[in-house]
Amino acid sequence: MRAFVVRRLLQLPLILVVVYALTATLLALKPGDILEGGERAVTPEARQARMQRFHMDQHPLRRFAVTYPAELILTRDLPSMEYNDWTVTEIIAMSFPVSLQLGLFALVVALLGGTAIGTLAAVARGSALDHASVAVALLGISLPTFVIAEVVLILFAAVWPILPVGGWGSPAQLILPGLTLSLPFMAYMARLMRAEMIDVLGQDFIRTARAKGCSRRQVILGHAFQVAFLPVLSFLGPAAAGIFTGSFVVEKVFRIPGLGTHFVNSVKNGDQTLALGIVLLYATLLVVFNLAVDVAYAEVDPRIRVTRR
Amino acid sequence: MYRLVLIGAAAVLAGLAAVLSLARREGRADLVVANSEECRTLDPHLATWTHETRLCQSLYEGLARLDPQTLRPVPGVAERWDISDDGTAYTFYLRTEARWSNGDPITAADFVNSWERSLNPRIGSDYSSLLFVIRNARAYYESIAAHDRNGATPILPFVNVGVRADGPRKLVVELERPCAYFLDILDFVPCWPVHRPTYERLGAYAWPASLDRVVGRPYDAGRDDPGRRHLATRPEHFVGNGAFRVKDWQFKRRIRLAKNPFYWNAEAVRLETIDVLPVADANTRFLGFETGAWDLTTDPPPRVARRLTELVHAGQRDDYRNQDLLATYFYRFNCTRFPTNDKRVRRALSLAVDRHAICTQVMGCDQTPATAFVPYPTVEAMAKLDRAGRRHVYRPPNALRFDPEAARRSLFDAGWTFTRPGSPPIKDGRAFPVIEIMYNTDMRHELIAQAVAKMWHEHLGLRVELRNLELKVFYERERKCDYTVTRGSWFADYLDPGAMLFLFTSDDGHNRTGWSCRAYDDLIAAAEAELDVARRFELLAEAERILVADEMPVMPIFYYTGSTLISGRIGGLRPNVRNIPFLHAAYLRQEDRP
Repeated sequence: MRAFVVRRLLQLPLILVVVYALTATLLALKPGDILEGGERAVTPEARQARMQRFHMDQHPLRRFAVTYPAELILTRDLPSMEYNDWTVTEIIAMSFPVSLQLGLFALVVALLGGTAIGTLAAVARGSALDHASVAVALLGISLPTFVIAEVVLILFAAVWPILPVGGWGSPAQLILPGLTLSLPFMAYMARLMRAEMIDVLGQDFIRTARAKGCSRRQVILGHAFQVAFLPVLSFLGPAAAGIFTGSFVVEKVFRIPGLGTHFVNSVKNGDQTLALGIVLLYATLLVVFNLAVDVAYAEVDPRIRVTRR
Repeated sequence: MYRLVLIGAAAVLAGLAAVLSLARREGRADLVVANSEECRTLDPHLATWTHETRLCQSLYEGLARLDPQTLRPVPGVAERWDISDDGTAYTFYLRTEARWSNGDPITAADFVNSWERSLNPRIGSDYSSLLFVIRNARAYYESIAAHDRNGATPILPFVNVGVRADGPRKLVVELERPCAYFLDILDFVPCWPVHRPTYERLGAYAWPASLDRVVGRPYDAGRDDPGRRHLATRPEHFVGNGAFRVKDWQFKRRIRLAKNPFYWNAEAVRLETIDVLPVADANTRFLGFETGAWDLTTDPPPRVARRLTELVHAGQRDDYRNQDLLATYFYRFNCTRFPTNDKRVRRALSLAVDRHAICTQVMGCDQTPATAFVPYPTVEAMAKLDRAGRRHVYRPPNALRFDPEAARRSLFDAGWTFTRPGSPPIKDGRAFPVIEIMYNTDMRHELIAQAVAKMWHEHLGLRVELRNLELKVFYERERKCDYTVTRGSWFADYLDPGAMLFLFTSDDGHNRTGWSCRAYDDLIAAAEAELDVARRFELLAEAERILVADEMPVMPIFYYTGSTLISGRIGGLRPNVRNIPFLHAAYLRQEDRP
């Protein structure tokens, strides 16, 4: 097991290099002049200063392959091309914990809600509860987040003002964005859980358990849940990576100072250094969470054993 | 298993609640302002966007400052000044009580140093060119840029530039030529002072020639490390000289300003703390205002703004205001490309646009249909006094109108004949080419472009395509003159018609139309150097007539209004034609300071 984890972690640098190369290529190919600010014309001299500051006067290959990595190693940081008063490390260091906290909350809510709804729907298959849960799941998946976000904001912050209009720093400010962010994931997990639970409940070992006199609760929670939970577990890895890097819409509507807006805006604004930083973080998270899920899988499912290949 | 999930979930939720509950929290500030974006910088010389420059107005003060009521320059750090008879030499006398926010006295040398920094192209300020009116300033700026390009050009010593300190309290400025608006720009980006010791300590005063030498020569932490340069505006290092100082800056959360106790006029500043929040979503900005989360915000969602305008007109709300701004929304024509290289075609396109319909049906926030390039609703605010004390008001030409018949005649004059209604006119057997309107992604630009396209099709039979581009691509294409028609807007940086009209001189970077007119350039140059206010306004009006009545490289559509929501509990914040919130003039109506 330890060898498996070490091997996967050793692959991380290679993955990061590939992701970095791909991202740099896309950024270099992206159309538009990133030094253009707006209506105010940039003088040729100011343009030259900015080009030198961000090494834009170099060939992209040299800039991305040599200069940025060298500057990162030498100075342990890179200046953001968009925010003069903040560096890439600072921006990520300030935004990522926010996305992480919001994401954790949303993930837990999605996990609890999704598995509960999925299990109940499967157990009461064909009932009104089942249909209601399917409808809720369908809504959660198909309604765009910006609609949900605006609706809950208007309902709970304006019409019935029990929660603050966005912002960050108190548990109350976590609730609306957290629920909004969790809804699509919860809906997806409920669907996964329901389908798998229905499948599992029809299997022989469940019939055996029932025949041996296990209570309904024991059968569902003690035996079926463990197996039916596996697809949800494998979904958790990529879901966590996605949820922790923030959501553009939720952050914008609820004015959450997270990473999601930077992820989108850095590409839009041509802030290449910040975009690279965030993509690398995202790639790392994806690898780590997938690894965590693989390990958890082996722990949960006795049929899976990590073996040396 | 399910127990494991439950226990894990409970632990995570409890942990989160604990972390957030223990987070540092401060009470509500006296005034809370919701901006649409986070500030990219609070470095006075690097601020570019309006939300940054407006905030800097509270953090820094120039030799003169703008009066919150009239926007005219009144004594700031300088308590008085003398102007030579020929208008080219200014002597400023600094207040003895003027202090930096760390208590250091402000001296004339601080301004010499700051303007030297502002004129250093390595800093990359967007507004350096405003200072080119100072003797040798342009030569100094260009010599550094040339030196950095070729390594051979000697840098002109700054002593040659017309700014010198004559003792700690006297600053002498010599201009290349008389400048009618020189005092107006003293409370703006290039003229605000920076605290040199702080900026030098952090490496932010004068950046090294070229940072791309990091690779290829020994690394020099003092010169190359960008790790401290950006810290100059952080609360722990911040030194300004305005009514407020930066007390706390949590990126993307809020900037807290606190009253600067060393400000020379601190007694007149009535608010102790101000929070400035970045709120990107227009709906959220409005909801937050409605629920009292903040007291001042701008630009509610278009639909809400229209409704608020109706309510204000009906007398049902008094906390919303559409203020005429010194700003114009216009379309540029590519004067180097067929068919808009023909001014008769440009005139036809302009005559076929019903600006009133765009203002009322598309915009709906009291915008005024354009009749020229300089907004006439703001001319009273721009009025200037001559030396004899007579007041002069700029009169922009009343040149633009909606006249579809005249539009068709103008196209006919250009050789285009109309065959049948609804189909494009024909010239030499060729149909009028498809006109492409280019704009950057924004719902309002799109709606305006749709309206204009419909009018051009309806009145002239033209086929029009809309091209929505991402901002950086949009400006790149516009700069390269790679378009036929493109949308533009301009917000004047100082209170003068010249601040709108200089854009379209031949060698100005804002022109971007390929249009070049010697007569226009000469008139603008003559107006720049003219001391007589009345004559100067005449020259500018003549230039504007060429711009919007004769040549039409641009088609002004409407004059902007600024949509502002101000809570009733705040007084002293009067909307003005430059939409600057003078925070130092604000006060709480009831002394119910939270």
